Amino acid sequence: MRIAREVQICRAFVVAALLETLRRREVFVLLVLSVFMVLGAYSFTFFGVHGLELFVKDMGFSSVGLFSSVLGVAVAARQLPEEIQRRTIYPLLARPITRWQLLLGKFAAAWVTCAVSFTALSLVVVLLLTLLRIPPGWIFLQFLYSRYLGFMWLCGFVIFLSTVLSSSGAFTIGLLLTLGSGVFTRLLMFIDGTSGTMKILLTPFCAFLPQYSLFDLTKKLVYGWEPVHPVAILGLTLYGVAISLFWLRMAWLRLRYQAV
Amino acid sequence: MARASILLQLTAALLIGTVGLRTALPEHRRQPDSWGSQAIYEEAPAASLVGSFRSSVATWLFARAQEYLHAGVILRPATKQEQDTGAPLASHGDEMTSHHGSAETGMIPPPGRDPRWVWGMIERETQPYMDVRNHRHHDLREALPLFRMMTWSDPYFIEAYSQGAYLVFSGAESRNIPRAIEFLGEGLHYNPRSWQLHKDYAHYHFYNLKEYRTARSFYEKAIALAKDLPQEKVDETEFEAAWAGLVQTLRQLEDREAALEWSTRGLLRFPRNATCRRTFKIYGVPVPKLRDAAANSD
Repeated sequence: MRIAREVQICRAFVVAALLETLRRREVFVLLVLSVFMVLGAYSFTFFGVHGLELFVKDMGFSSVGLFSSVLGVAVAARQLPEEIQRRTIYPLLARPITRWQLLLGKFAAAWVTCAVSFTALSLVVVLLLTLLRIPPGWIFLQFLYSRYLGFMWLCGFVIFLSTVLSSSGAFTIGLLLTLGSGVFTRLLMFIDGTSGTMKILLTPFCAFLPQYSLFDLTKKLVYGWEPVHPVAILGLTLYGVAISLFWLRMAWLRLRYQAV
Repeated sequence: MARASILLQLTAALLIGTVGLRTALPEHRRQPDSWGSQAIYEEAPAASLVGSFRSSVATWLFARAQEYLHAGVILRPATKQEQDTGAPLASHGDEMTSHHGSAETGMIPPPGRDPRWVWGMIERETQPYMDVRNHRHHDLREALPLFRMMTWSDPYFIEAYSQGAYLVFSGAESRNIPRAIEFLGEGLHYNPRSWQLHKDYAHYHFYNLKEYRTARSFYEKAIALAKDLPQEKVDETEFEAAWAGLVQTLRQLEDREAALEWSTRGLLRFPRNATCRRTFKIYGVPVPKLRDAAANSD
């Protein structure tokens, strides 16, 4: 009964968020940019440069990944602060919903918006690449799935940021940490990895670092690698769900007693 | 009113763009290392901006090409500590020999050296990863368009011509030495004072085409150009290879006097060079003492 109620609340928020994204026409802009990137890369063939399949594929999927991440951060960063700024949070909280349900609904709205936009962008790029005779392999399905998991982390983390920062602050910090997430793990590589103590200390610490790049299978897709082992996908799923719930919990702890 | 404003803005953008390009391009067509190029850049900032943009695009494409060759696996220079503690260093399992100049290792460490345990295991699955020891390369022909584009973008990018000729044309399955030489020739057209390109051009003529006369003239030019440069700008190993190539070429041409003279001069710079020492042995001449050789060369 309680789950059904939460699903109902989430569905209402998701529909509202999707309509808002359509109204803002953000996805269309990104769609045009992605098409432009693919066709731009392909246009070199008209100047006598052939064999650009890999480059075109790289441009297409890299731009989809970049644009959808930017969109994801923007959507997640505005979910709560806009409600507070417009004062529409009062009628929302006057309804029989708890703050946790509000947070969950906002999270679901941001995540579904990201997933739908990303799927639309990816399918357009796949269609274009197929027309240009550069079809992606089966790993494409894993590419989509792992990104959906990545968006869970992204939405949870940026919504948490938006409870402690302003909307623009959450957007800026969220974007920096999302796009630069690889840097944190790269810095750890310079630590002596042969020490067992270091491994014990670092493993839990790493879980809380921004590891968005872990969910990005773009390179494996572009370079035509074999699909990822199912155990790794299972590990990624468990981590993605757990870490996004952790950040949502942190956001709830902040929002629970916050005066709005 | 709005339409007129848009038209006005478009016209202004076109005008600024055209003037900018007209101002920038003629200067930038000059060689960046030619006399007075600094003054040109100072007098025409647009030239500097366009030049920087072109170089940046070319450098980005170069990094992309390196990634393509390793199917997305990123290599980085190994730290001193990694080298000392026996971290796996990149080496080739196919016919490629020399494109990893310095000690390199993979960006993602192998299981035994990864401090992140489970996160490292997941990353090795979700990101391109391979054991960098005895690694093989992606189809090198796929990187050809990138080398083509980067030399269009920046015709003064010497490394692109050198590596492009080696990796794409002479290293690929469809070995095409004349095409490699043509590519290098294009590089020499834009960079007539590049000692590396002269050396590479000579190498192909010596090792692959056996055209010793052409090889000799290009080796001599390469050495002369390198000697004019400050020592820190010349890779000693490459320079020694050029010197050895010239001595071997002279031996093939059976020009005894020249071979002995260049070997003597070579030993002054590289006292342990085996090719130069062997030349004396072949011609039955004792290896000169370096002090005497220095006195004679003076």
